[in-house]
Amino acid sequence: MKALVFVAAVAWLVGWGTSADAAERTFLLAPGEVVSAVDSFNGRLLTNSAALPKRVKISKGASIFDRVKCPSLSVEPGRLVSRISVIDSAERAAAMAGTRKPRDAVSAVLNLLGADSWTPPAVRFSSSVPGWTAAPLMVGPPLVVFQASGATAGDSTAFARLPGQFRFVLDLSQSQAGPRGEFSLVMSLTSQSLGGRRRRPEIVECFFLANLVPADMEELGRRLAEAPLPANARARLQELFDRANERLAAGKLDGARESLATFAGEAGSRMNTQIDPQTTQSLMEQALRVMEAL
Amino acid sequence: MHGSFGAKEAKVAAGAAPPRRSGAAFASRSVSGVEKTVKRLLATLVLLGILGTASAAARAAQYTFLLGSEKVFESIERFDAFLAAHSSTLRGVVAIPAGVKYAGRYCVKPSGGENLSLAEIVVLDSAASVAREFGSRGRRNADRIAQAMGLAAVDAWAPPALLADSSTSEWVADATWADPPYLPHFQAQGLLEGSSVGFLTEGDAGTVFRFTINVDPGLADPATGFFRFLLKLRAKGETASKRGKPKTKERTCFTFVDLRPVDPPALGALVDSLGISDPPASLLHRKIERILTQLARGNVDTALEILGEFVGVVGANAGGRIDPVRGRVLLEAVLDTQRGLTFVPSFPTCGNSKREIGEACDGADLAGQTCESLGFHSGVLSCGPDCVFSTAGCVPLPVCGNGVVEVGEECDNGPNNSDREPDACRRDCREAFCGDGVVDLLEDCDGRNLDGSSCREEGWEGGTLRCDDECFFDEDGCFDRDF
Repeated sequence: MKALVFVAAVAWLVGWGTSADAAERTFLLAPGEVVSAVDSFNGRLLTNSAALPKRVKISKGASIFDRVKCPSLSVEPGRLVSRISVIDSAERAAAMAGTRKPRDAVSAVLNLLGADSWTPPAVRFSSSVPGWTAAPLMVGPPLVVFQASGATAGDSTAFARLPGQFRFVLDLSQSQAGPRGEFSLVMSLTSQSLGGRRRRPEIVECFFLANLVPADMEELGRRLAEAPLPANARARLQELFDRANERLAAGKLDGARESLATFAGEAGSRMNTQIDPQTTQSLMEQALRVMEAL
Repeated sequence: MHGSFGAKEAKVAAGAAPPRRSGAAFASRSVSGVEKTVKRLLATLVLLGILGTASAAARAAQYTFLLGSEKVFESIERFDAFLAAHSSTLRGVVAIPAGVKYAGRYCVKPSGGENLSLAEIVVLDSAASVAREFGSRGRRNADRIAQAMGLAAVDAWAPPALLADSSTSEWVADATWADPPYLPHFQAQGLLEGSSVGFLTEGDAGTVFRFTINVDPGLADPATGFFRFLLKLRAKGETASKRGKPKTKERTCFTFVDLRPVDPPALGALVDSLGISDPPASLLHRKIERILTQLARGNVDTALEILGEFVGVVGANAGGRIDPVRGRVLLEAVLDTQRGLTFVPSFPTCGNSKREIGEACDGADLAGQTCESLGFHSGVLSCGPDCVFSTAGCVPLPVCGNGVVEVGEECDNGPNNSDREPDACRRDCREAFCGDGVVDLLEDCDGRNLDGSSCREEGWEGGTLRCDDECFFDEDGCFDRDF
């Protein structure tokens, strides 16, 4: 038995289960995006409900599926948001959702709606959202959790307007990415209704999917490589991309930002002359996203 | 990422209704004992009223919007989520398989189990206009939908619509649909023809509908430039009934959609509402002015090049004067403007080998018709240059009695066709034949017609004369007494 545990531990340490093309990818998530991700997930859940193993219900501003409740945060002003976790797989979410045994219907629906998985542990995570801290969530291997610190939890509509972003780095495979390079990450959100005279406060944990494009140079490099570009434009943009990468490697963040701004400017100014609008948008959008992450 | 109901809704939720001018509010202040003061005040009020009206008129802008089919399908999902989110306020919101039912209506995406396709879209002018769509019946449900649209803070616009067209000729676009107020109306060709031509399912991305309306620019979401419009959708298709027989079904529902104007001036308004400061702000405005100048001269390509320069300025200032988040919003808006400048509406074109609305056929597309189905005898049907059937290659059905021997006729002597005269062309245009009941040349008889003959006539003493199958006498029944 001890030997088995040892083998498992070693396998976990060396990255057992990671696919060949897995890489560390950086994600940014603004509070407003969390709120819209929950609504978007509820919409997908409801419109796809005919294909789901259990019935979806609606009650008091929330969708309910297999006893998992997802209240919308864009409406109820009295709901406190206290914790947001990034979970490595739909199966883990099912295990976390069930008090005695995993709620398999939850993992089934998350997988049906395209959940991507990543390989724990989460390596780097931080929060620039006021009143929110980042910490590892110890559910088996460490996952990512962002937690509101005490009184600053605030109500859900105020939460949506909070500045700053949650930032985390995950190890996942590019093969899971969607057509726009996006990943569908499993998340959980803990919130609490305030309660009233005759109502007790209710704490609920919603499991949902957030579609996020990595805010990293890898995605920009991938888009640049796939972009249909004339030779001179490609050479110039590649040069700027390489320069930004070099500056990042040297820890010169301002310099990298400057190179990315030049990259975005040069890609933009070539729109309709050398680069088609869709390619321009794809390159510029990603350059700006990376700048946000720096 | 999408799915948020946006700042507009938050504004409504917070009770921050947009300020409205009211003459009554001013009038209530004109209580004074001094007549002169009252007169002055009234004069001021009249002036303020005029100015108010003028400024309201000045606020309206003629903006053009593009509505993609994928956005329409996306709106169904968003509205379902919206209804679920507001289920505490809106009474009677229930989840049904593949959607959400509210006020007796529900939109179901084609992927949601019902085999329905999108067949009609109307852009309604306000939440209040939902009642008009319901008619005298179902007023309660209309009020409930109007309540939901009020919560969603849909933007009102001033009819009539000024333009409506689409990227496909399989949809009929109409800016002057039905009675006033004349709304942008889009209808699939199949809806008018009783077929499914042009019907859209969820996978059919790329169909774009364009409309131009008068709208108050101040209603745009300052952070995104989006206006929120109320849509009426009609889906049609076949669903399996309980007995397994396909049943035609139709469903009408309401959703809302966020759209950004594609006009260059709207891009300028967004630069301002995003709070972008100088120097890039002035530079961006100058680019927009140059775009407008080039467009006025008809130089669309030059205008597009300048739009590229605009994007270049946004990119170069990103992270500095323009933060990346605002930069991405501007970038999306530029792409919308680009789509607006390059949008090419499609109208039925005779000669493109595709049968479109108003065309009976086009090239080889004969809509499944043949000479026979059009009432001809045979032949090869073709399509004429005016997209009307050409029946020159069709063989008409013969007309017996016109004196012309046509396909399927053995003879035709016009009025001389007769079923009584020997050897005449018969009235069904067949040659005289054994069995036609008339004794023709080389025939002794024909059926019961023995041409007045009998056994005695034929030299027998008695018996019964008959006619055989080859129209010769059969004398087997005749006899002589001697034997």
